[in-house]
Amino acid sequence: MSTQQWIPVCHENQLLPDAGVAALLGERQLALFYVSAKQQFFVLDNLDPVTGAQVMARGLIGNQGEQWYVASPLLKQRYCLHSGQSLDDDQVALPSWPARCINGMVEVALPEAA
Amino acid sequence: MSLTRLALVGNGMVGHHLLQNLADQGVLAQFAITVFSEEPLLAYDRVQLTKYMEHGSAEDLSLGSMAQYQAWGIEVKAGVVIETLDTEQQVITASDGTQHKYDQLVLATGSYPFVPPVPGHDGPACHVYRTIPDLDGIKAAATRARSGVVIGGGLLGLEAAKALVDLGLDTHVVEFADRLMIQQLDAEGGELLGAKIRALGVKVHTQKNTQAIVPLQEGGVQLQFADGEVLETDLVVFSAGIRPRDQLARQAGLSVGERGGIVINDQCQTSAANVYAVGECALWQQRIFGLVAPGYQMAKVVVSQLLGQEAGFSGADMSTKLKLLGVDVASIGDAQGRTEGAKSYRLFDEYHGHYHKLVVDAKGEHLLGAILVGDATQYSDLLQIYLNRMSLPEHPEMLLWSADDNADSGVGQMVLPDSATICSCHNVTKGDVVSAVQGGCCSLADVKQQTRAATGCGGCVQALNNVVQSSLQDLGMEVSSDLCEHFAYTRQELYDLVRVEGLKSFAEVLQQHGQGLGCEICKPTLASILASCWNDYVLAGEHVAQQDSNDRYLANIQKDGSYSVVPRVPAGEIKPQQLIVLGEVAQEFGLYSKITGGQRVDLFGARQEQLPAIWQRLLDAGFETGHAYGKSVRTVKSCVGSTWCRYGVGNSVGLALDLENRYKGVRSPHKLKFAVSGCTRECAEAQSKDIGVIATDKGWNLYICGNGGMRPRHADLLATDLDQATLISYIDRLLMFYIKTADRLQRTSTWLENLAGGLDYVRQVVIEDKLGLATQLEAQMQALVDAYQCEWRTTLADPQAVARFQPFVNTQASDSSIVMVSEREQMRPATSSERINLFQEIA
Ligand code: SRM
Ligand SMILES: Cc1cc2nc3c(=O)[nH]c(=O)nc-3n(C[C@H](O)[C@H](O)[C@H](O)COP(=O)(O)OP(=O)(O)OC[C@H]3O[C@@H](n4cnc5c(N)ncnc54)[C@H](O)[C@@H]3O)c2cc1C
Ligand code: SF4
Ligand code: FES
Repeated sequence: MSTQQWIPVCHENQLLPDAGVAALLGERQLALFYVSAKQQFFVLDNLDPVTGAQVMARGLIGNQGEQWYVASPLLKQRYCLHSGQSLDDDQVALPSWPARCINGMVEVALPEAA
Repeated sequence: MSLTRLALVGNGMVGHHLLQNLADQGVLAQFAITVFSEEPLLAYDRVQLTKYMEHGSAEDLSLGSMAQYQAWGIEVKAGVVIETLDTEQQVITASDGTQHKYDQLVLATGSYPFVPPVPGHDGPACHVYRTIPDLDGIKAAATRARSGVVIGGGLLGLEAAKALVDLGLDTHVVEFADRLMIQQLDAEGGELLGAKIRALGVKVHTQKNTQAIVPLQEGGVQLQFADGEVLETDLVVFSAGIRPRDQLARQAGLSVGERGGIVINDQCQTSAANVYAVGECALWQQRIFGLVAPGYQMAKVVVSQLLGQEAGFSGADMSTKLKLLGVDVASIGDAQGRTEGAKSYRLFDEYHGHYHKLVVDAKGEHLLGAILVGDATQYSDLLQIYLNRMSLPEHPEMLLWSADDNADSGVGQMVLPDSATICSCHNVTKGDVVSAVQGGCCSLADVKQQTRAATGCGGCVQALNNVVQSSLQDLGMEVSSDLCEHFAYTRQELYDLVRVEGLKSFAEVLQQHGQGLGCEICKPTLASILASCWNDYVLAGEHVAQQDSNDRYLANIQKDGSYSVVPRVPAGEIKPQQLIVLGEVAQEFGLYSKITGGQRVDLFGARQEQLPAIWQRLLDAGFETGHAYGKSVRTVKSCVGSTWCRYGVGNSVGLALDLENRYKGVRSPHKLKFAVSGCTRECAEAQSKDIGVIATDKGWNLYICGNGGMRPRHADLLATDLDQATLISYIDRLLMFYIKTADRLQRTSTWLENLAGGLDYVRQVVIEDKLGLATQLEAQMQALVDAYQCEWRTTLADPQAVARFQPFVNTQASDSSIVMVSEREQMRPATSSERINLFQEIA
């Protein structure tokens, strides 16, 4: 099992409430979301698995019942903000990582190897 | 078993309907069918003939096509007349000399326009109004004419008069009787109609007996009337009634009526074995039916006969509702009150110019007939009451008021039986509509497609819509007009809430009327509604998170995550210097350039972070945003018009510029496209746009709700010969009415098709101001116009907004996932296999 490492990404006021922004960590693009109603942070991979474009951070976020999700800006497939699981296709999921905010800094927990 | 040889003489509306019926029943394979059509054009919609004057497209009216008939395995002889019929040998002989044996024969030869044999009736200035070639002839003659006379003030005569008005002629109607539409209207109704039509500039001459048509030396003719008066004109159209085409039947010795018509019995059989007659050529109980619906019923009866089933024709209702030169006219049943003991209720509203009359039986229990002039909104309700012999309410006079004026008129509460005919053109009953809804149709448009109801004369659309809506409700069908799970409202309700309560942000609306976070449906919808109401800067802090990705970056996202840039080029007019700047920008930023279908230039492949710099250059050169990213006004396409073009009659570029500059920045349920053409040659393709304008020598014709794209739709002509101020007030009203009432992502074309009341209703709202909304709608549009801003200009002035174009929050790096390759000396996104190769080369 790989150990987690919390990596600071940006200041919380660089985020856009109820929308996404992208961040670059090494070679990997992340999509960061902040849901203001619940004051929660989420991090998914920025790569849209359907089109292969790095665009997930530009999607709209929403909820279907209890599920919170982001919809791809290109062809509108939806992915759970918590797990990255696609709501439209069982076979597809986006990588997702835990996120938190400490002293105003948004941090993401990536596996050591990343 | 050998096939039955079925011959059909005449490929008009009824003949075609018979074939369609055989096809619908899946029984074509039992027959070897041959169709003989005198007209070289196969069956077309004669009822809509006058539309051909507007569109000039025979295809739009087409009912049967060669390809369709071939697919059905039917042999078609077009441009061929059947000259003789031998009922002994069961053989017919065609004008090309060929002979055909039949087992069963159907005569569907229709009728011809009666031309009174006055001297001069056959001169070159004289026309009739029955076929597409007739209309082509009138059109051609009209290019050399200033005035035209229609002889005959009946229903068809007034249709013909409409065509002459549309052709720009000074139009006269000459009628023998003392009023118009003597068949359908009583004295008061006919008078009022006459007055209204006169007010539209058509000259109506009643009690005029034309005795001679004398050619004039300087061209044109002089009509000479029995009372000694004369009328000079360039062109004459006869519309003095129809006569059945029964020559073939007479020649063959079939029994025909004293005044013409092939005698048929209830099974539509003629006096000869194995010969049927249907449609306008047939005489049933001494009556000829000059409408399509009865002909369609006869066709159905014959199909049943051919299949050995029981069926009979039992007469047909001749009620009609029409719009004649923009005036609503309807007549039901015994409109003249000829039934013994009949009494009438009458309402003559001189103020609004309405005349309503109900004819009831002696006891006041049943409706026998009705006349409506000026306002025919109650037509479908009254017709249902009449056809179904429903008991009248205690105070039948309440029915004189239209349902809008009086919600308790009683009509709404009367429940129709399932057998009630909703659409008589296609014989669709209430039961048929209910089962279509139960079978899964969940909109008016679906039901129209499935049952064909309301696709004939269109007179039944209101009634159809009522049945559709109530059946949906009965099913407890979540017609879920709710926008989504976050808002239990329709788009229209939300629009009204936002307007009335003055709500200014998504958060406010969600808090007061919604639940949850929202979603990709309600967020852009509300962002659009808010913009349509207040026209705030769309990327203001409280709005940015609701914008669809294109609106959020004020550019169109491409498949690889890069963007395109489309500056506005109003009316497609562009200065050389601006063209140079576009080229320079494309070169400097390495963008792919393409001329769009909307008369402007699209620059592709911009990276998110390049957008502000690109736009700075464009703004400096005088460009503004083109809103290619928004559900908003896109382009106003123009032709070069009278400034340069030898045919132009109007300054189309000038008007297109005014329109584009007025409406740019207006956000709406879906995108809006306009075009302006300088003459009827229509080089700007205005009739395929949401708003189309075509110049005439008297002003502008306004077309609405056209569409290219997925389901092309010809625009409808809303008003003619407008001056620019009126034109703009109509467009203001129309667009705001659409913005107010359309569904999300509903183009104007589907909006109109789903709008109960259709084009007539739009006309009432926009032109007649029936809802009393006109001033408000204009003021709302003016507010949007006044609040216009170039979104890119506002954005570049706001450093925080500019910062949001950086691809990453945590670094200035640019996005290395966007990879371009070169093709035809420009850039394009690398395909996935090209990307793999490129990465391998680097590695
Ligand atoms: C660039 C252009 C094609 C071109 O190279 O010529 C184009 C490109 C796109 N069209 Fe279009 N359409 C373009 C003219 C048209 C036209 C022709 C016209 O406007 O004269 C039509 C048919 C006319 C009509 O709309 O009635 C047209 C019918 C559509 C439709 C179908 C709409 C419909 O109601 O059926 C869509 C899809 C939609 O909007 O839902 C669409 C959608 C699109 C989108 C926005 C697809 C998308 O979401 O990515 C394309 C992106 C443009 C971009 O990235 O910049 N485009 N599109 C044209 C831009 C015109 C302009 O200057 O703004
Ligand atoms: C301008 C106009 C507006 C109208 N508006 C309405 C309306 O609003 N509502 C309504 O219900 N009705 C309306 N009508 C009437 C309607 O069009 C007719 O009732 C309908 O077309 C009758 O159909 P049909 O098949 O019997 O005859 P037609 O459509 O006339 O077809 C008969 C065909 O047979 C062909 N033919 C004749 N003899 C021969 C032969 N010997 N060999 C080969 N072919 C032959 C003819 O050329 C013709 O093509 C309107 C008619 C006109 C002209
Ligand atoms: S529509 Fe008429 S005025 Fe315009 S370019 Fe074409 S021919 Fe000329
Ligand atoms: S009654 Fe003519 S279309 Fe329905």
